[in-house]
Amino acid sequence: MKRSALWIGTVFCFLVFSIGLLPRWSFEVVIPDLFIIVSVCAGIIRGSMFGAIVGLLCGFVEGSLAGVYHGQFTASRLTAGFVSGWLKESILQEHWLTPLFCALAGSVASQVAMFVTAPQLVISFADQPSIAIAKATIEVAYAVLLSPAVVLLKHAFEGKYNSDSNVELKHHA
Amino acid sequence: MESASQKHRLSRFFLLGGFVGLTIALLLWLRPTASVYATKLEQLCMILMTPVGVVTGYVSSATRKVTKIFRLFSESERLEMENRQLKRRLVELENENRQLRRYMTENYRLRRMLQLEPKLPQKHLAAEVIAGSPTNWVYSALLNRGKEHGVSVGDIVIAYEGLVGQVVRVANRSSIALFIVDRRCNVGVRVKRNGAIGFIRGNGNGECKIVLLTINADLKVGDEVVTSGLGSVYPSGIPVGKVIKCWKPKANQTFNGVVKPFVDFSNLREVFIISGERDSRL
Repeated sequence: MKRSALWIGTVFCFLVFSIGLLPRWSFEVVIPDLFIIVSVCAGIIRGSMFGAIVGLLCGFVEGSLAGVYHGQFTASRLTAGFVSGWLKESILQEHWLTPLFCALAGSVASQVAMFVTAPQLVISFADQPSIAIAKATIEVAYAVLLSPAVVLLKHAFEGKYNSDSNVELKHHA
Repeated sequence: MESASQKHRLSRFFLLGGFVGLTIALLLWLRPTASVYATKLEQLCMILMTPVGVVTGYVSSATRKVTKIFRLFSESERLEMENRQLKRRLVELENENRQLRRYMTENYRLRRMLQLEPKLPQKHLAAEVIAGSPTNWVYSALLNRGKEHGVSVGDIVIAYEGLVGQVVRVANRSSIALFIVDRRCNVGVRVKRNGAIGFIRGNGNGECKIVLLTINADLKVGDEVVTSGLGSVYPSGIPVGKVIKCWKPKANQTFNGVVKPFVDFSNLREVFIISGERDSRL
């Protein structure tokens, strides 16, 4: 119950932060896409299926807010969550560099999925492809920088929570 | 043991297949050209976003207040001077306004004498930006006015500083406006200095690319650009932006350039929606 409330609260805070405050702090007019980061983190923390579900929901919300490319956003964020989770479960396992690689692979896969499913977006950037490449690269960089931090923070909290409950259990015993 | 793991794998495969299927359905069902009106699912999402927008509004206004307090301390002297200058400017503008009102009455009288068509009245509907676009690929915003308030797809959105964009999707109580800096937005414009006609298109980087269509006209850095009114989508004379870069690709081609919009899209809070019948000659 506590954990679900924490997840809902985190997503709500991310949403408020993403649509209200982030546009003011953009770097080269590119803001971190927190929906990719949430999907990637969900994949790393709870596995590929959970990552895919969170990615699907995040993508739909993002598409609805943007007004266009609904399915494309959904596919892209679903891919991010699934790829990061699958990479952690099947190949990388537990390692201190795992969040970093998962975030990198997940966000790159997300960008690729976006371009593949939205050819009209690729066409619109045909005269200035450097802008599209720069944007995608900065988005991936944001995801790589932020996702491991969020995952490590979550693990740190969980560790504290578990150790607290262990102490409580010992006291009861 | 092995069959259990095989079962687990199979169920995961079906689950993933279900997600992919759902995504493909969304891709087909909600594709941009399908409908300009928001579907039920989208409307639900837009309604759910309203409380988020309210919280966002509080958070951003609190941030602005804190920033203001800090600025008050550090820039009190400059603000005092600016205040005095603005008061002087206000008197000047009031005089100018009085004169313009006289011209307006005269213009109206002359148009009637010449039996020209009267200009259509424009409805200006004030709206608030509930949420900005969370993505870097689309420049849009969610507004708190929708079908119930008389907003329809294609309505023009302006701010105090100038042109913002166009309404692209409408729900019952909210709508989505596409900004002029988005790559899918094209606007017919006129250079204020020499009247040269052209069009601008968002370059996806917070600025717009301008292409002149008038052959012998030039473009200079600092030129102001307004809407031309050609095409009957945008009324003419709305300020758009200022030219910050210009070049001529080849000797026999027209000028191209980059326009920086007057509107600061990252700090947009209040806008006006021009709805109803539009008159491009305005």
